[in-house]
Amino acid sequence: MTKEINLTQSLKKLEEIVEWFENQEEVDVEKGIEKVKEGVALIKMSRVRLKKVENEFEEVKKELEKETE
Amino acid sequence: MNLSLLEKLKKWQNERARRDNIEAYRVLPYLTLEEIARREPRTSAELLEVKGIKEKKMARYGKEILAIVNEAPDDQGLTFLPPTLRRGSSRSNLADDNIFEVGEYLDFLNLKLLDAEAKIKGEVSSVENRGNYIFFGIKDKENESLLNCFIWGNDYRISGVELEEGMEVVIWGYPNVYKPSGRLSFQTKLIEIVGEGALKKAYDELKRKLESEGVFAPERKKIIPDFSHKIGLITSHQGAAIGDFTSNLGSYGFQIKFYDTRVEGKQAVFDLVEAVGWLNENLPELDAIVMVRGGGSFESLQAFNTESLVRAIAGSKIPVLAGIGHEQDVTLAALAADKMVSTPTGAAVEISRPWKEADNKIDMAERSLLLHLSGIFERFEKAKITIHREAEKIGQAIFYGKDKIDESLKNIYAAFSRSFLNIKEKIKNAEDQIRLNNPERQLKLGYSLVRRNGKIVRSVKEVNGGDEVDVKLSDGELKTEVKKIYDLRIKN
Repeated sequence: MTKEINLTQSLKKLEEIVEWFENQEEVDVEKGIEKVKEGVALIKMSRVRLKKVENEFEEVKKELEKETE
Repeated sequence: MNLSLLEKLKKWQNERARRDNIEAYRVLPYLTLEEIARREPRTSAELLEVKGIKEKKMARYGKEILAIVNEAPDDQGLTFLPPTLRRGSSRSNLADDNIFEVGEYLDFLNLKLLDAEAKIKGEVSSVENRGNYIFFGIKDKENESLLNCFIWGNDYRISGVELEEGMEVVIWGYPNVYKPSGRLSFQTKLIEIVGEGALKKAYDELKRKLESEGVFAPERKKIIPDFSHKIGLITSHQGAAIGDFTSNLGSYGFQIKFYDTRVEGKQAVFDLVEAVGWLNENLPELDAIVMVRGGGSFESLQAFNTESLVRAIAGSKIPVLAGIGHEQDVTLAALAADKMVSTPTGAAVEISRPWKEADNKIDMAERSLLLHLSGIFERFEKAKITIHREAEKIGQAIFYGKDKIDESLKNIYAAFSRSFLNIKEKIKNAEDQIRLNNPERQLKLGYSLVRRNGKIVRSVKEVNGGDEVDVKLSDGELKTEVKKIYDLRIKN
């Protein structure tokens, strides 16, 4: 099982990857591929995580609205 | 009822009362007169059957009443005179050729002697006290005249005069022949001391004696209860005292039991003593006895300075309030009373004082209560307004709170959504960047990587003809040799 990852941390890592690419004068294909792979995995996980958080939020919202009615 | 007889009886009652110096009803009550007029008793036996006539009254008035009944015409206008009784009523005793027996005659004589009732002044010449009765004699100072007198011990005690030889007295009574001895003696009812000086001396002596006995001592005085309600009033129905008392009482619902007495002179002592005794015996539930009389001279107040009355007052179980006016010394009766004031009006004020005070207190309490109440209402009203205002504030606060919560909720939602979008965008950007930077993508598009000795070649200057270079394509690598170099920058 993929362990629960922290969205903030994964976003930070993604930014690091992007930055890595931007700072790269020479593209190391091997390393670049690895970074891409890592980034894609992070994006995928982040999306899942984001969806989950969003669903949780929606639920909380619904409950709150029920109470304020 | 024989009305003409009743009229005659009433006339006789008044005349007899005047003679005896007593009130008419004390001779015989009106009801008894009516009863006599109804039954028309013609013998002693018949008269004794009338309610209100007992031996005592019979002895005193019997013959006179029978004489009147037998004289009176009955309603039919006929005169009925039994011969046996005619004697008692006939004017001339000789005309009838009638002969008395001794006892009969003495009875007849004593009846006549009742008319000789009198007040007699004299100097005491002898005293013989036998306890139940006292024989004494009085004589004139100047001449030899002597009157033998007799007084019952009880009347003697009530008179309260200690007879001594040489004492100047006035006695009240009527002469009477004592049948067993045939001796005439003056039946004395009352003894008075004569002269202001003697009265004053007797007063001082009696006062000293009673004082030493502790009759006037404050510690034996009973308390006249506050809010006395049932009052026994002893005074005369004549004179100003009764009016002064009753008109100053105020309307506090007093129950006044009035005992009418004489109050003037020595003879009043009988009534006063009797009144105190009667009220104690018959109306023990009374809260107080009030004895009042207007002011008067030493002589007119004698009864109130008489030992028998002082003792009656001191012995009364019902508290006594005295309102007896006086010009000189305070009366001994007043000193013996449980409380004394100097006038009948004062007595009324004293009795009604607690009621009046209570009345005032209630009035004041009512007023202050109303004041407090209105204060309370005012504070209530204020509190109500404050509460309303505060409640409104709270309501508003709740409303605002709700609003704020709603708003912050909205803010939270918005912020959350924003951060979602943000994150999403960041992810999207990262994805784009990563895609763009993916080296494989370039290769797929047809670009290739040239390396010399493993190093990426970015300029023609980095290679020479004949050099071996590696070309990386998307799906493999080519080992090549540089044949010719065209430097594009030099051409220009």
